[in-house]
Amino acid sequence: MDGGFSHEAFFYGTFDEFVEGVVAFVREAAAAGEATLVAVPGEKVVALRAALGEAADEVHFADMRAVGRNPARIIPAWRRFVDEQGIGDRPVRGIGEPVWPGRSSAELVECRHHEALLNLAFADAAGFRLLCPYDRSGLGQRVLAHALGTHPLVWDGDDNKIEPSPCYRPVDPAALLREPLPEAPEACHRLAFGSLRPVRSFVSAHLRAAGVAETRAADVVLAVNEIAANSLVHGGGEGVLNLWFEGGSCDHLVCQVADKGQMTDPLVGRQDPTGIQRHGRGLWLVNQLCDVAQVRSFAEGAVTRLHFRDLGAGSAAA
Amino acid sequence: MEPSVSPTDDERAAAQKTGFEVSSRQAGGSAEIMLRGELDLGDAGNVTQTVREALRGRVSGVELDVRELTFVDSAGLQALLDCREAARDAGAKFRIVGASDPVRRMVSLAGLDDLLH
Repeated sequence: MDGGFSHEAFFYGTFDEFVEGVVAFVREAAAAGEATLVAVPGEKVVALRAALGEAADEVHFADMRAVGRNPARIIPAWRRFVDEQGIGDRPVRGIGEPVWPGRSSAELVECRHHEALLNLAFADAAGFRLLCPYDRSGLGQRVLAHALGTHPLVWDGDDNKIEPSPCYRPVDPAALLREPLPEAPEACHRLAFGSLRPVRSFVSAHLRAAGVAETRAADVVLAVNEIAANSLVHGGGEGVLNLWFEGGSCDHLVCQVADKGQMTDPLVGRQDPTGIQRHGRGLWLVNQLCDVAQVRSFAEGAVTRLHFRDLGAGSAAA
Repeated sequence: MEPSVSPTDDERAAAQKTGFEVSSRQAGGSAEIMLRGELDLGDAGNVTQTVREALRGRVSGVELDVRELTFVDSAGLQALLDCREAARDAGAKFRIVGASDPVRRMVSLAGLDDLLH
């Protein structure tokens, strides 16, 4: 250990193995006086609290299903923790489980991006040890292979050993931004825009037709407005919005904006807006409002695809 | 005669049609600026310009009335922040009154709750 950022995958086969491994990791941190944040799905938080007993009082917990519902919200959460707890040279530990069975394919793609981007975001975070548990029996082979590719290190819970991952590949930010997205369906609603009001009316009308409640609809409209605004400012002053309901389900809306711009910062939208320059705020906001944001940049222009799940749609989609 | 701060039917109709309307008046050395309708990127500059003009009139304070804003995006929020900064730079008091739901939502998402106090 050189004291730099240590990003470790932990592959477990059973729930008990998960609990034992994490508890050992947390107890070791507590003994060394290191602050620890455990961000795992809520049901595991309950089990870990029980297993840790009184020691749990010293540990910070978060439900990853909430914090990491949109994987792009996880890096800011770790950033806050490291900034708050890693004062001076105090080492800090995190346990982050962003991937669980049942994640959609878009979520899995963005989780992989998130894991790769952690290496970039915390490259300078000396003394930050982040352990990422992966469920060997519940997740597919591809997901597990990706975990090996995005984690420089693998932690073995049985003998508390850290080994280099044989398949780790340093992140190529440009390649993440170039990664193709699945084709949009042919039957999607399309709007070419050069100003924002038509965009909001268009999205509102479709949400109304799908029976989405007003408060939720307002958030969706705001999110789409923000990416359309990016097109006006950075994407050549115009763009094309495509809107569809994934798999015909009124509960899963996808809005995609394409323009002539270029994205170069793969961490865009993952920095807390307080104190950052004005142009970083839009995509950060978008990430708080949607379930997955897929930001891409191709030779022909930039594409941002937003997913909104569990819209509570009341009637059939238009 | 001072113009009224409460919107006339014509002003409401204009806000409906154009989407956004800003009007300002001076009262007791303060500027009262009323924003109506949907404040987005396209109108953000209009708001800061109105406030800067008011400040050039050496007012002691600026009050932005946002109760009739039905939408605000991040550029609109930035305009509100810029107005606050301009007022501070000019040594004038600054206040936002009547924060509507869309304004509250945007301010809280951005973690800038102090803007409304």
